[in-house]
Amino acid sequence: MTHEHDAVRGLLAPVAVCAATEAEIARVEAHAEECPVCREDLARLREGADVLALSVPAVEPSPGLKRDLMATVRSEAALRAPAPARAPARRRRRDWTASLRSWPAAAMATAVVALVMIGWNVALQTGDAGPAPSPEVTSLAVSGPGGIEGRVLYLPDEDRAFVNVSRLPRPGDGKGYELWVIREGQEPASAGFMKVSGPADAIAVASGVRGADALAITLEPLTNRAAPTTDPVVAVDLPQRA
Amino acid sequence: MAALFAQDPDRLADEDLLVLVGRGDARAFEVVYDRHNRVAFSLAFRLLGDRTAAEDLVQDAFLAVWRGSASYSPARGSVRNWLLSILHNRGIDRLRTSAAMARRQEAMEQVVLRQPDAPDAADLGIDGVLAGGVREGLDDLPPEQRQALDLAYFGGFTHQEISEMLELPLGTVKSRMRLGLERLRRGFGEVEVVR
Repeated sequence: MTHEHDAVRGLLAPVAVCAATEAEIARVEAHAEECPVCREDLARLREGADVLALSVPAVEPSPGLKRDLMATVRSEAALRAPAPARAPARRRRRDWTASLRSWPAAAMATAVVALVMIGWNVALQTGDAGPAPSPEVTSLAVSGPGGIEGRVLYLPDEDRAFVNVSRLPRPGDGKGYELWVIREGQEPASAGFMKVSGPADAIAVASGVRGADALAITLEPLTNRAAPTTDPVVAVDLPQRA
Repeated sequence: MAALFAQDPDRLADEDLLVLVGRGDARAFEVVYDRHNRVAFSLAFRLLGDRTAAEDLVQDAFLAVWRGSASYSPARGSVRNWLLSILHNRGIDRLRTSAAMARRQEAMEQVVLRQPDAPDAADLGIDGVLAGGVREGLDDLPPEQRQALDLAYFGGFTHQEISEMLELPLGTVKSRMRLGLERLRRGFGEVEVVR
């Protein structure tokens, strides 16, 4: 056995319980790739660590956790569904940016950078739905500065839109990402603050979106409800029905 | 595979459900969530000590399962243990952020001072055979081994930090961890019931 083997063997238990540094973990994993003895030893020690996970006192999560999680999962499941070959909905371009007069005009040119839109209509998978018409669902890809990306699932028949955006910059204390429903000639209507679902992911469900022209996200103080006070971080056109 | 799709998800084993999850089956994922959400939330709450933070962590871990079910390998163990290892890794990352340092210190003091709570495995929905193994393994663990594992697994401290904290040689800390894990595995690993 080598010196490296002996050194790594001493690190296996700390790695099994996440008590090692990243450098140590990388060292152990590299060695374990080549050493079946250490690989099997680490697997056995991790089985011991699994017992610790099961030793905690029981605590019940709130029902809202499942509701929020499943909303995200169902929206993503719909996005994974294969898209039948149907003609895309006719888009009627409107100058909805006129509705954003409360945002500085000079900033608008650079702020509405997102708007990468891939529109296609997919039928919701309804199993034995038969010949009944399927609700219309439009999936919109969203991107923005700094690698911001995400999806908007627009369900006009249900008057809702699921918004899932990742790689947003951290909002900072007392601030959050607010979703706005934009209609031409009207003040932007708040759809509420997005729920942060991970280190850089945010999700929201907007209602009252049927016939709206666009959705936009701004960084706002958490007390804000009236009107956007900052430039949109990301915005996306919604398709218009024929 | 066609037979798999025809079955009621409630009757499928976790491993089969993950196949369906990988194909975008939200109902199969919901069954996985219903089976394991309590044990996941209990671990998250034990790690972070805050309901909101724990729910964010659980959501994060389950979404990782939903989006990455293809990376699951039965060789790593049961689906539940895979889920819990994802959750634990991400929970430790959060514990180690600078903002959480004060909370870690407080948690460390609690770990050192209090006796561990008796596990309530039955309430976690864990199989009776498994629950017996958990209790047996924990009861058999010498206090110094349990302390080292608690600080590491639940406190998020590295072996170096634990060595300094307890004023023990590094080799002693690593040895206690290893002996503790081996004892836990002997009292439990061979009798695990995989759903």
